[in-house]
Amino acid sequence: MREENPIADAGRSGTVAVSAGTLASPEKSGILAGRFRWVICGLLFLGVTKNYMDRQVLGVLKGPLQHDLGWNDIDYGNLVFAFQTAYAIGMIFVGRLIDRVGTRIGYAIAMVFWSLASMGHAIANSLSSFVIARSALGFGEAGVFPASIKCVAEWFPKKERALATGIFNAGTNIGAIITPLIVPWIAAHLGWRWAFLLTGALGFAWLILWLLLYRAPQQHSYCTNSEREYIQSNSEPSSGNIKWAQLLPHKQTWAFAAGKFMIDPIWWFYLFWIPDYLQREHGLHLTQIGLPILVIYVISDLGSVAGGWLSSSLIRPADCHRLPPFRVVVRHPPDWTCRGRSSRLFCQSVHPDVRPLPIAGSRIGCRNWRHGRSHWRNADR
Amino acid sequence: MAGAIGGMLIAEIVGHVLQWTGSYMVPFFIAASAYLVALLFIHLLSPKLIPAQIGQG
Repeated sequence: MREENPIADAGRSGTVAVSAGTLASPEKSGILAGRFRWVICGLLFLGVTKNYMDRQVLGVLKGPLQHDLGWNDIDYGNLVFAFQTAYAIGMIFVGRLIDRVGTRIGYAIAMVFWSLASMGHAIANSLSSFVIARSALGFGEAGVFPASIKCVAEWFPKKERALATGIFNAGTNIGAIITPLIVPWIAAHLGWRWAFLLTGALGFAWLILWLLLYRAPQQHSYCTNSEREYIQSNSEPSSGNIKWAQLLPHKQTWAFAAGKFMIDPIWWFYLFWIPDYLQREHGLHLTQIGLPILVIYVISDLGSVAGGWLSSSLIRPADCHRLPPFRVVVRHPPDWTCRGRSSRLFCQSVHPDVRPLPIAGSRIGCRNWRHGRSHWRNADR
Repeated sequence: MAGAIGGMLIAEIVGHVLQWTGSYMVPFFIAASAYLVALLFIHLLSPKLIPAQIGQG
């Protein structure tokens, strides 16, 4: 699949960048000259992957935790509820924090916060202490998408933003695949506390890379002048402000929100309950669930790429009435973009002037609404 | 945001249903039908999926 190539490229560039940073002066880092933005994209991809690993450890370890701590399914449901509630609140506050302090510091704070919360699960002994750790995790994790989208807006020209978003967003699936492969092994050999501790601690490895490599393009010595100019190309001068209140009267807003309201929970259901389902109803051992979950998410990705392609091919700008049923298009004056403002929640869900883009990370099936932003692209591309 | 609130609800629903029935039948039924219901709602709210003209009307 061609969609996978940019991911691999981003990953490779990331490795090269590290060695380039230690060995060569920035001007001589030939292969990366003018392409440093893809290293940034690789960092964002790793951040999202780590984010999804942290949130999925609990789902994978549901069985052992219930056994050790004596929870029933309602207790576990309450724990997931705590995460979701904190996540919803975090979307508002952490987004604003990142706007205020900037992406470099803001993302670093969010990563440290949620990594510590993730590690905090390791010392929790009761349902209430798990609720505290879980809420802190949800609150901090909510920062990942506002921060990533803001980084993409800083580092990518408008025409490449959808692709960059699709790439970092693929980290959600990679995280969801890696976790059930690794965590059961850790839990079996070292116990579940170590699974939380080690997954959380990965955040600090990421933090080092981030602090070494991330600057705004204007301040970045690895960013060549021509790349800087390229990033500025076809970006619009000012971003108008769209207020929530302006969106609310539109039926399209409610159609989109209704879709999200009904479809997102299915994604969450799969994320937090499938490991338990495989063990309980199919009798799999904890260490056997990795493969079926890998299959589920790979098929989900195939569906998302196919769905993105299908819906794109169904849309013709001239005849909007033939839009496929699962798309809502919001059009607005062309001077409005999401640039530089991450806390505007609707921006993240309803990408400006949108058409679906069949790239990695575009979602259909249970992902279709959840990460709506990743498969919309600007119609004027 | 709507999705996050939906996520809060599903956590409680699945927890309670599993506790009562001990089976994943009902959660999977909900998961399977949610797409059809969402599709229906979207068509009721915006039958022709005409782009919204924000800030112009």
